Amino acid sequence: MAEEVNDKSWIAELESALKEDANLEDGETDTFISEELRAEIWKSCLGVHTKSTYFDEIFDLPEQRLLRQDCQQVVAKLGNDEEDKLSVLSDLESLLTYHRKSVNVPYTSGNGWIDILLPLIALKLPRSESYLLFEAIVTKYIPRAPSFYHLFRLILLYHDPALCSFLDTKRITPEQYSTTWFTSLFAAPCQLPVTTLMWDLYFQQADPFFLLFLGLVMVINSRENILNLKDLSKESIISALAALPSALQESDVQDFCSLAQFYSSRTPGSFRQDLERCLFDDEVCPESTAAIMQALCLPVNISELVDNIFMPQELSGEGVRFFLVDCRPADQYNAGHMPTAFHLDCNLMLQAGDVYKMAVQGLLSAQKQALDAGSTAGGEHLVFMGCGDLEQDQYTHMVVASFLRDSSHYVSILNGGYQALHQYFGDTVASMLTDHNSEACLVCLQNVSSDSAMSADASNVQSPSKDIFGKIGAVVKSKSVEVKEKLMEYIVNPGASDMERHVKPSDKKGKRYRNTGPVFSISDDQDPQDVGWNAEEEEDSQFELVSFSSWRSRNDIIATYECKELKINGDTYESELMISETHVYVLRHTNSRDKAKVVVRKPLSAIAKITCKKKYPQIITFKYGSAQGDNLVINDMDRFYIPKATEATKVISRQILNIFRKKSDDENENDESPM
Amino acid sequence: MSYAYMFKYIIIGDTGVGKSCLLLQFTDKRFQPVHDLTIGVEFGARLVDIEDKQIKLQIWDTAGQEAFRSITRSYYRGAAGALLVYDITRRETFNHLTTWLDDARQHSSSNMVIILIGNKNDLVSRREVNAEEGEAFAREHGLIFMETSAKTASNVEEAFINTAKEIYGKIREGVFDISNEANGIKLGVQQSPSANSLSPTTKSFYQNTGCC
Repeated sequence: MAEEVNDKSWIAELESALKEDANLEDGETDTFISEELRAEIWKSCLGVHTKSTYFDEIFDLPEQRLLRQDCQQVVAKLGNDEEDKLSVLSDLESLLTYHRKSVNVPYTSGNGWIDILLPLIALKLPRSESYLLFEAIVTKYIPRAPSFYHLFRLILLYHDPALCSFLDTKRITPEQYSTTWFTSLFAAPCQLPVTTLMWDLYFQQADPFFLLFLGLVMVINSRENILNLKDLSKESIISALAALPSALQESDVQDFCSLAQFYSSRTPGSFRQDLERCLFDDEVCPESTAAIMQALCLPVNISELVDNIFMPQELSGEGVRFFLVDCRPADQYNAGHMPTAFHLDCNLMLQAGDVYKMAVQGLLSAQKQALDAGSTAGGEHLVFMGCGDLEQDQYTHMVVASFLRDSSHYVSILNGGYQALHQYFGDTVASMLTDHNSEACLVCLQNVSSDSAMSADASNVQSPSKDIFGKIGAVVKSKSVEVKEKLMEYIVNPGASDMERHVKPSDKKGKRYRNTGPVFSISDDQDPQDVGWNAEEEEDSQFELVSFSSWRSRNDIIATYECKELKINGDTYESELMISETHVYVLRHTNSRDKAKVVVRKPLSAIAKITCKKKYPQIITFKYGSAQGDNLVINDMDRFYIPKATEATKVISRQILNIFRKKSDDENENDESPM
Repeated sequence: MSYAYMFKYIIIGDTGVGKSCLLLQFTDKRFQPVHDLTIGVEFGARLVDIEDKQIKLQIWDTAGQEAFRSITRSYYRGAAGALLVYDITRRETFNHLTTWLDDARQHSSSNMVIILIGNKNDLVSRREVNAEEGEAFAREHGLIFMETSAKTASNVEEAFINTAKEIYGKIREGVFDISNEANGIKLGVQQSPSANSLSPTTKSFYQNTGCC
């Protein structure tokens, strides 16, 4: 194989050198391969090695008459002189008969064989070489099964849903107009010089599925014309479509092929692995065939999705980037999902159409934001994920169908859904998925009897990448429109008590703070990474610069304590903790004596929890958050070394209690003294 | 949008018999001569009055093509009523009814109410299937039968409502176990436990679960 490749490149190099020469001479040649070298290059690309074939010249097929007639008709149309015609005719019939016998498939008119042979005979090679080329083309590049046309429809649907729907509505299937294109590798509808040029590119491309994209460009390029045919009969539209390639000129071929490459690079490639063997090999793959023939839209495999999400840097900027939409019910989503998955509650479509529309709007704007931000979650290509069970995925399919109906481009569905994803990750599922909870995850529950080891401790789960929800939430909320906030609630928190999604997974398993408990508590040593510690890089400019002396003399400051900020990265800063009746501030010393940065400015009511370490009572952690129902949501924290820790926390606790009392909130009436 | 019950319907039948047009006529009271081919499944809803009760019909309109058959099958379960539609101007759509019926019976709950609909009866001159044939088929298989025209709206309202009446009757007889949503029936939100004449099973269900 390696030799072949070397061979090929050597010839191609030689060829390009020759071509440069040619360009120097006449300056306008745009042939890709010179006439002299074409036969050699085609042979090399198709892996044909010269060997002589014995043609027995016995013409005794049952359909011999038909075959001969067809050959005569074709040859009569050629512009060659009489003598040439005779030799072409004899070549044609001899080769076809031989092929017919060796593959044992009856010849039928228009099955593409004659069309493929003509450009080869035009090379004027010895008969056996023509035959080997022909055989190689038929074996490598001509699709065997009808599922190829279903695949073609799915790819058209993927890139141009409106056009696909137009043809579907006219009850025009791809077989009806594209069979001659695909069975002849475009030789039947195209003029000979065009075919030759296209094949030059095609064989060098060496991608059997490239045919699909040539066909796609053919249809999409004429989309306006096709749509204008809406009042014509089905038959006239079909013949107009079938004739599209005949309009192709030699000068169009290069652009045509580049466009096809463009579409090919923007199409998920899972179908290649699934179908290559049954379309271009004689293997029978009933499962993948059925899957393609009954697919609602283009399927994407787990492996393609996972590679795409976890290794986006390895993909070129031009390739496919996915935006994963998780359509499972909220409780299932909350028990484990891909870190970048966007949740769209499909039930909304049935229960609250307006809200569903808003949710879709939210989805699209989140997608746009993620794209603009270059986030790993951002991609133009929508992948919808269901449970992986036909019955449970009713709503998922309906949502996908509605996207297709609205002519959304790039809509695909994840093969096998969550079940397959879960299986794909196997034992690593807890570390690959976000919020994975083996006690609630349906797949885990199903597996639990067979594999008790699956109940891995979900508390060790760390998000593999930054939580997209935080970002999307922040983005949408920054517009500070109430409607949007409500919308986000629906999209991101479809269930009433799902706010815990915003907590890092570890929080759920740790001690959960209840609103009724004391704010201050002494806990065992906790891993400093347990909560969403603000690990982001600090930007200096984000802090307000103030004067120490003026702050110290502020009337509203009740107490001031020396402290050290302890950052997650190990950095410490000399600072002062200041407490007012309503707020807690931390002012960090700067190089300039009187200048300080206000690094913390939080309302006391935002302090959800204060903890200290048993062994080091001077190390105090403030956790900020708010109560959501029974649950506490921690969204930020700060840790300090405070020499007078006991005193400081007393003051803060007292102030917090005062605030609660002022509110005379029933819920907090019963609060015990916090220390 | 308060309602006493919600019934889930599914519309099935060969491609091009007018399933989507029937739905559109029923939900929007309009006719679209060129309707886009249904991709997979679509969905519509409308409130109707049956015996002074508001009933929400949630209707799933499926694609008729063979390619979508496996997706279509997933919608049978959980449907209380099915509209099996053929086109009176195309004999083959009538010939395929047995396949559709077998499919429906196999994948749905046994109590599902099925109505046979011969659509496009405005196209009298092109008729290929007589009303009598439709009637006979319906009688043989225990279906309700009606000829409709989605274009002129003739009988469209009746087709949907008669099906609802039949389902409602079955509920009152206690045939449907409405505590199981897989039967395609859901209790509405505003129903008061005192003001009904439901069968004992439904009553106890209601009291157990309270309003959903």
